[in-house]
Amino acid sequence: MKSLYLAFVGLLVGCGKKLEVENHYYSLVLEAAEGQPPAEPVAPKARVDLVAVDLPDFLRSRSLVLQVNTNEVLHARYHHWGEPLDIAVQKVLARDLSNALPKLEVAPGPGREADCTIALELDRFHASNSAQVLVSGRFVYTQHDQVTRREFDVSQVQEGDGYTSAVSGMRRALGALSRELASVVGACTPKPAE
Amino acid sequence: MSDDPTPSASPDAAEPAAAAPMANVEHIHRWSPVWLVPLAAFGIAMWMVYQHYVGQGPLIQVRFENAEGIEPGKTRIRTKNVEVGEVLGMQLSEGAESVLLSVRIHKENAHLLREDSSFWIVRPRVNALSVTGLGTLLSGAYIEMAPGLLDKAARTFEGLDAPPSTPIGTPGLHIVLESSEGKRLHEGTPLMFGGMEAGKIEDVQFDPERRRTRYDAFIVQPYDRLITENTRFWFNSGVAVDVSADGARLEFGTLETIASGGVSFGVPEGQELGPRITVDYVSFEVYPHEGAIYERIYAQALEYILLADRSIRGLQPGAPVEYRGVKVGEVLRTDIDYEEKVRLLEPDSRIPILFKIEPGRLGYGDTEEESKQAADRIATLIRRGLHGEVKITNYLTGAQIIDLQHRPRRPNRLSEFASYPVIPATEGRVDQLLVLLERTVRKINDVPLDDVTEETLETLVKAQETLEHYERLASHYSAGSEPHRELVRSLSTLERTLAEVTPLIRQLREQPNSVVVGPRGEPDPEPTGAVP
Repeated sequence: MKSLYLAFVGLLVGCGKKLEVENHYYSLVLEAAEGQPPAEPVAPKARVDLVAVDLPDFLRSRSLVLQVNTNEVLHARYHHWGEPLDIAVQKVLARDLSNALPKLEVAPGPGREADCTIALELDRFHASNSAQVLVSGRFVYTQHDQVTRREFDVSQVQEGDGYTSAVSGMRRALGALSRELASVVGACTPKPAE
Repeated sequence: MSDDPTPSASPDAAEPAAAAPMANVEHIHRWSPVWLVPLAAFGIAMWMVYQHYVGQGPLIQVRFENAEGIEPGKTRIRTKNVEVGEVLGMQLSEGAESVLLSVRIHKENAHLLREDSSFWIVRPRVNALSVTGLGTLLSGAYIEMAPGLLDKAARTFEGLDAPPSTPIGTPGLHIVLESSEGKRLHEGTPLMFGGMEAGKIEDVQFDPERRRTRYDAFIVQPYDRLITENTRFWFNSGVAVDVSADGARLEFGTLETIASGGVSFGVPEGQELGPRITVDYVSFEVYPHEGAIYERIYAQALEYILLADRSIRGLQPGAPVEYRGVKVGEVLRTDIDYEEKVRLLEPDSRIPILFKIEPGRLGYGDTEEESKQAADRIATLIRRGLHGEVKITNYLTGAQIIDLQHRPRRPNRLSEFASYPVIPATEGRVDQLLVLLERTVRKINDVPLDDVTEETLETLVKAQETLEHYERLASHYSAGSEPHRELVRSLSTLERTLAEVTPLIRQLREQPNSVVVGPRGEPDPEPTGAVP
């Protein structure tokens, strides 16, 4: 009986080694995207909080998503985000906005005394089999009591095969989104003193 | 001529004057010279007999176990291929245990007959080391005589069954090798030093009293200088296979040692050479292999019993007893033949393993007094939880050892088995692992995976609902307040945790055995780019 269990242990070890597919983990780089050289820091005048990035259910897991046809998405088994996607997107956009708008203080997450807030809802943030990285959704910009809601679709062409190229495309898409946000958020002014 | 007297008749001789003249008889009083001829012949004959007797050399007797190939009048005695005598006759001894040969040695060779002269019959011989005596197939057997060197002459000799390995008078050193491993060497087996033949085994005897094999060996000059008090002898295996944790090693000796085994000797590295041995017939122990020569031999040993409740397959007498990887003794017996009966096949039967611990290996002196101190200390340690574990050390060969270890949480009571103190046995780590594995497998078998995945999914749905409920609750706090932030952070963490678990649950539902055998190995489909 014991030899049977030894064989069982050997089987476990053998099976463990048999798995040849490796796991891959990806992150969205924080450096400024192409065409966006970091600006010189100046004294901030207004504060913008990127309060939330809301994801659809199918994007909430760590697995990267591939849209295989119009109505079907597939979660990769061996390609994962290195950190929760909403946090990663929040940090990247905050960095890009900070670089683009040096007069503003842009921070990820809700904070106190924010002059303006941005809430992001992503509908798509994944690769597809049509050689495109699909990034679309809407953002809600709040400045004082004014609320601006705008749809965006910053899908990019995926330049190469594989998930690495897909993630690069997503990073470029976020850069495009940050530019679009900057055009809106750039008008943020400090709250008037009460 | 007238003057010549004429015979005339006298008055007294007138009557027989006409009678025949009287013969003048003369008596001859000396030997005839002709008698010298037979006398000379007799003298010459006696001289020849004397010369023959004096010149034929001594008549000796040689006793052999068997006279195969010996023919009186034909079989010669030779020394270095020179004829020195011949066999005159032979007869059985009184009890017919042996054959007595009458041998005439030539007179000029009589001085070779000494007490230590040796005789053996030269016949064709074939063994692992050599083929000799093929010439006698045609010429017939002869007797070889090795001249002796002692002063005292002799006329009766015991014939040898085989030629002596070492010619008499060869300079060197006689030694005695002893072993408890039975007969592993033969007459003529070489003694090697550094791959060179330094001597030979001359005789093999078994001592029934001591149950040991004794080998008489001879080391020739100049190798006899290598024999010192610290010299160790070991059996050559010829081909050695060593399978250890480092891998397998295969070693071949010389062709001679492969054929006959043989014995090698040397001084263990790190030891001094010691005083040279100059006296013949000093005894040495023969170690089973070269590695064993580095083990010191201790006179004092304490014997203990370990009662094993698991298989002891692979635990052989001679297997080491270790403490933290250091050898402290060895296994002596693994059978069940003790005064105290052992009943195998009973569910609670235990197999006694007799082993010894050498106090000298524990740091005590190798004396009787310190051995008693060690025994007392070991008894104390047993009470405090000293255990023995039968442990596999080589999973390829299944070789096992006894590993002594402290289990302070499991103190023992002193007990005896067949008058030997008992060191309690403990489960090995492998046993513990197997028990754990058995329990785990049983639990996995008992888990209704299908139900679990369904239930877990339901739980996730409920958890999601709960999260939403708490999010609504969080909305009651003012945004940016500390409770609000804390609540949002906690909810976020919980939500992510659930997000992490979801793929696992999904995987379990799709492939329930993936926890044990891993997920399927097919790679993910990859997105294609515009520029491949």
